[in-house]
Amino acid sequence: MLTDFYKKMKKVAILIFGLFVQGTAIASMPTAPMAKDSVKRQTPRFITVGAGFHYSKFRDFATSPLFYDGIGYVFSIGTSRLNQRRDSEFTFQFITGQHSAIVGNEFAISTFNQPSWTYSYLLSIRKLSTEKWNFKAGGMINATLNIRLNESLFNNSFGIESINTLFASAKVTRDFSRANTTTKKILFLNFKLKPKKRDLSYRLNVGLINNNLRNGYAYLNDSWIISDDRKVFDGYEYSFFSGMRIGSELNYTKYLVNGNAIRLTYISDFYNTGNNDALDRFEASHHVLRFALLFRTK
Amino acid sequence: MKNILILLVVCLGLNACEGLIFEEDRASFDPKTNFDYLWDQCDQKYAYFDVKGIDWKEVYEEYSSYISEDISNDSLFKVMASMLQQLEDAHTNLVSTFNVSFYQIDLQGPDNFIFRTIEEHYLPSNYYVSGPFAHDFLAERQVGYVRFSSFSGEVDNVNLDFVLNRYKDTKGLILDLRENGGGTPSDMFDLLSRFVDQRTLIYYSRLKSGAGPEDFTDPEPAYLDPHVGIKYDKPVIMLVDRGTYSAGSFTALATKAIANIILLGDTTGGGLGAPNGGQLPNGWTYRFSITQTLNLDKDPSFENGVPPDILAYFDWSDLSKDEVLENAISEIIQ
Repeated sequence: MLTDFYKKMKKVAILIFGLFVQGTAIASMPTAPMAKDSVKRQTPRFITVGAGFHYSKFRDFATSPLFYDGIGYVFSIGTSRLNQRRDSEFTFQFITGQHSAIVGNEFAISTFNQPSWTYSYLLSIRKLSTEKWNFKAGGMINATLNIRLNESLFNNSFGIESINTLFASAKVTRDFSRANTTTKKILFLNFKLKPKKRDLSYRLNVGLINNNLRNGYAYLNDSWIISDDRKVFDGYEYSFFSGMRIGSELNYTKYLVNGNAIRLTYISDFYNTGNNDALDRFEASHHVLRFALLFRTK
Repeated sequence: MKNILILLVVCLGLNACEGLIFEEDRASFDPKTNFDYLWDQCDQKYAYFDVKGIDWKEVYEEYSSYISEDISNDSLFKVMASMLQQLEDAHTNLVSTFNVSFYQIDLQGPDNFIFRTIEEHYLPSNYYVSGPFAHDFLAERQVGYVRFSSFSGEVDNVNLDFVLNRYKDTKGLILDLRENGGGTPSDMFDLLSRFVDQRTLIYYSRLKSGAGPEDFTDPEPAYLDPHVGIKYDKPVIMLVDRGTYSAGSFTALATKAIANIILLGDTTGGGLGAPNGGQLPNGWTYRFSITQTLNLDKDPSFENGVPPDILAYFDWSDLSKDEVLENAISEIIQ
């Protein structure tokens, strides 16, 4: 079943990569009326500050066959440049929480912290885009660090892994701004609706290159036995093209009259470290609900 | 509006991918599943089957026969704990909310230590306690006695400087590590660095790297670097017994490479494999050794205990005298 899914995902990845190439090609076609520099100058820049909640679930077969899950807090900060032609965003996000595994009377708690860095660049697919619908494709780089502490696992209580992914990304944005003041009547009440700018976007990220830095076979290392300091990454192994990752992001953005904006975001992020050998496979999912303020700086 | 709804439905539909990222839930109360899981983890990662001459498959045959579908949790725990006892390793435990299994290595040899005898008949009533060290003069101030009962991670330059400075004019020092069950190995490096004057190779360590009995990483050398500051260069007698375990055994093993330290007492309990930690499908947790420590000949057999240079036993017919300690004092002032 999993092999079939890998094959399907491979096709989806090729398709999205194709769209990315096409998007790049279309976007790079000569544009007559507006000069490139002019577009760049007019592209608004934002600093994004966000906070919210997450529900996460993970399982590290190297130490336990059980799922650990729980809710916690999310904080983020980033920059973005958005217009009809391209999006470029850099985001640092920090997830924190306590996750638990409960089986009958037995329970264990794992503290989970996850800093992650994301940079994405998308270009418009103008052949598909209209005034209201905007399609973009491109790529995203994500570096995620999972830091876990579970005291019931004795010397294996500290777990850390780095998951690094190059994604192919596709984004669709529906602009449902109100251009002019309109009046709406509900029963006997008249409402005057002012012009407003807002959009809803959905973005799909499919991991093309999934790399990870994980513990070695024994999980534990012996740096603390052969010297008086513990080296966290001693014995770790870097795996290329290992595992899979898929994620999505749904954004509702409302722009304010002063040029700033508010955004409500739902993010899903699912990944594993690949090795079908259940001895040390790592699996995780994160569902993030985040509210952000976008401060326009330009 | 219709398009937006489609967008939202697609978005939610893609969340079904989560099920494809995860394998099936492995949580289980099935006795056989849990027994097999623990046996399999040991089979793939335990480091000392060969050294201890354990046929793990034979152990499976014997203990799996006690498992039935309706076995109680208490009985299942006992069977699995008994299986782990076959490893004869005090770094092995099975832990549940209702019981903890352990292997009593110190009962595998005679009891060789009672601190009350030393307190009553050797030390002054107001003996010093500096961090993890209880200490004072013995034999008319010719010998310094330092009791170190646990590698608690509290060894530091302040308490070591005080202790070694106090006994700098003695003929020798006795470090009593009997019934020291171990703890933080970094204490060992801090302590022993005071007794060497050059970088010293003390042992090797290697990790399990695969399921085969010979699958280990290359041996990594462990070096002891001399401390810059107060040191002690006169004879040191380290007292050990069967209760000297884990970091205590690492320390005993390291003394074999240090010229001015003599190991005296009984063979240590071993415990030279670092234990891991893990969890079973029913939530119980376990640990067992997944590294090997090798002596300077790259031999792992000291896991069964580090032998003393001078054998000495406590005579329990006279509790006013510690023969092991007497022996050590004689070695120093002879």
